[in-house]
Amino acid sequence: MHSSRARFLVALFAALCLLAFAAACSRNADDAEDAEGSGDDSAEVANLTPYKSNPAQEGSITGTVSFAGAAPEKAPISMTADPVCASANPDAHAEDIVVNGDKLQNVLVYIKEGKVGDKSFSGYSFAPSSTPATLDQHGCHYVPHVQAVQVNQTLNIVNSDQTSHNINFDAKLNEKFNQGQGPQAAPIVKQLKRAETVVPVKCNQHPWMRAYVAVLPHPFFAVSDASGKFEIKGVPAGTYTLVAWHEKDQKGITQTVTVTAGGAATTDFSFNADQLKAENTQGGALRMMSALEFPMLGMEH
Amino acid sequence: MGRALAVFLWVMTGLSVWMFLSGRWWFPRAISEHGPAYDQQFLLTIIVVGVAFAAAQIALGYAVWRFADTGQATRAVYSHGNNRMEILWTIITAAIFITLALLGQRVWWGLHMTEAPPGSAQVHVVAQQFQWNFHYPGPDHVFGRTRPEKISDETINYIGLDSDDPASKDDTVTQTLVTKADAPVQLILNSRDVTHSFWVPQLRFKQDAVPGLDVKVHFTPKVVGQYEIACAELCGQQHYKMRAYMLVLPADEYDELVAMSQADFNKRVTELVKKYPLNTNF
Repeated sequence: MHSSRARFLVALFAALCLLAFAAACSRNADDAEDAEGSGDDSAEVANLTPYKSNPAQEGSITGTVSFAGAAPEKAPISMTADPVCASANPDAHAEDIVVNGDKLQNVLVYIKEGKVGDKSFSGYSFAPSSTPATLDQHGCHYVPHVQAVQVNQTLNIVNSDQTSHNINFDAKLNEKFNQGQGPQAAPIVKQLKRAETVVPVKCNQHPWMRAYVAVLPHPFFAVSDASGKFEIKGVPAGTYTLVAWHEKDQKGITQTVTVTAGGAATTDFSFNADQLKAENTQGGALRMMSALEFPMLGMEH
Repeated sequence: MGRALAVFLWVMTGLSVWMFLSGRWWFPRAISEHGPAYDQQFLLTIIVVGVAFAAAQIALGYAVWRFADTGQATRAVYSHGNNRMEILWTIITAAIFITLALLGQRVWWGLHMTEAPPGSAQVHVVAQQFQWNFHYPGPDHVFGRTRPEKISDETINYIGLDSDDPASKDDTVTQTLVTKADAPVQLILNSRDVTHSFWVPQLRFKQDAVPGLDVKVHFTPKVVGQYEIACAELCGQQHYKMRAYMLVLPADEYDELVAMSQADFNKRVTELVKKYPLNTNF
């Protein structure tokens, strides 16, 4: 009696194990399909009109990003835990809000939508730039702090430091990767397949390190420089919704701008201290990494 | 062949004992007040265990030598052992180990289970993947309030210090532990994410930092210098990189440092790290 019940339980357990295994496998297959499905944008691209540049019909958008109110104090970064960092960058400060005078640096300004003549801007496709973008780890911080790349543009991630870094590329729509890069190591080369604003990049070894990479389906973007200025060139004449994005104000400020052929449209943005409060951080500061991660498994390198 | 094995056993035993006796491979120097007690306890344990080890191995070698196959086949003799002898050596072994454990417990208890001496410096240790953060209360000796929702690595607020709390104004948070020589210090360990473990080999203790718990431990560093802090609990992919340094400073330098603002504190620590190079007393 006992032995037959035991046999039944063992059989039941084995059957449940098999079921669980099958379920896990099939879900993986689904995931892969989903990822590939949304990754393959060729059908969508086929409906888009490839944009042919015609300088006579293009203008530019320029402007300045200001910061209203007293500039927040930049927190000093102690890098003593990694002596290489401490000697390479002895006077490091937080880069979350960089204000020079009343001008705000590191604001990404990009076209969100618009109309080119009668046609929707989103009905065009734009060939990716052939110039690779670079994300450098230099002095134990990311250079540049904020940048945008085009879909399928090459992104070279470089380590110029004499210490090892770890690139935790926290994408939601693109390939998420978490990869170490030693000193003198070869660049990590990526082409991001989907538009995504904005991917936070972290270093698991140096928690202060943070960069933001936007992936856009077109080349009409710029990041405000130290004097708060930005310039977007070669914009087809039309009317656009322009977004100014800051890492502390993820929704950003939206403005409408009209670009005329050969003209230079000017659009200025202004952020204030309330918009860029320290609490407005991305991604949940308390997110815990799993105790053991195996990034080498099932990842493309 | 059997006798060769006996010789091999004796040689290996001799080599093993020599490795300890030669003193080439030993702990780094103990630099805390309780360190010598720990070392004494360890030494006592290793002498007792070492004598037992050597005696057992020599006896094993003797048996192998004495009863090696010399080609003169004799009938094997079976023995069921001697119960009296077994009881005796079990009791002796138990007594030795219980005594060692009780002695060790006394040293351990003094470090972990007694209150820190009055007037001890207080440092909150907040571990995170993969960094140590040390929070000092500043000249007012009151820790500013911390709130988890304020934690933000990119704004360099690793521990979520609440700037709205007046007590937080003079607080400093750094990644190097700074202590005063010959003065007791109490660490209050916590973790932001997973379990970590605070370990400075020269201090002769490890203490887990557990999320949600304030674990207290106290010690008195005696020797000025710089020492490495390691994480002794596998805490994730970059666990091996979770390193920080501890500075033990003369009283005047320490007092000057802890009264400084955050920016000056960081700069001064960077200078002091160069002034007192890492103690590699291995």
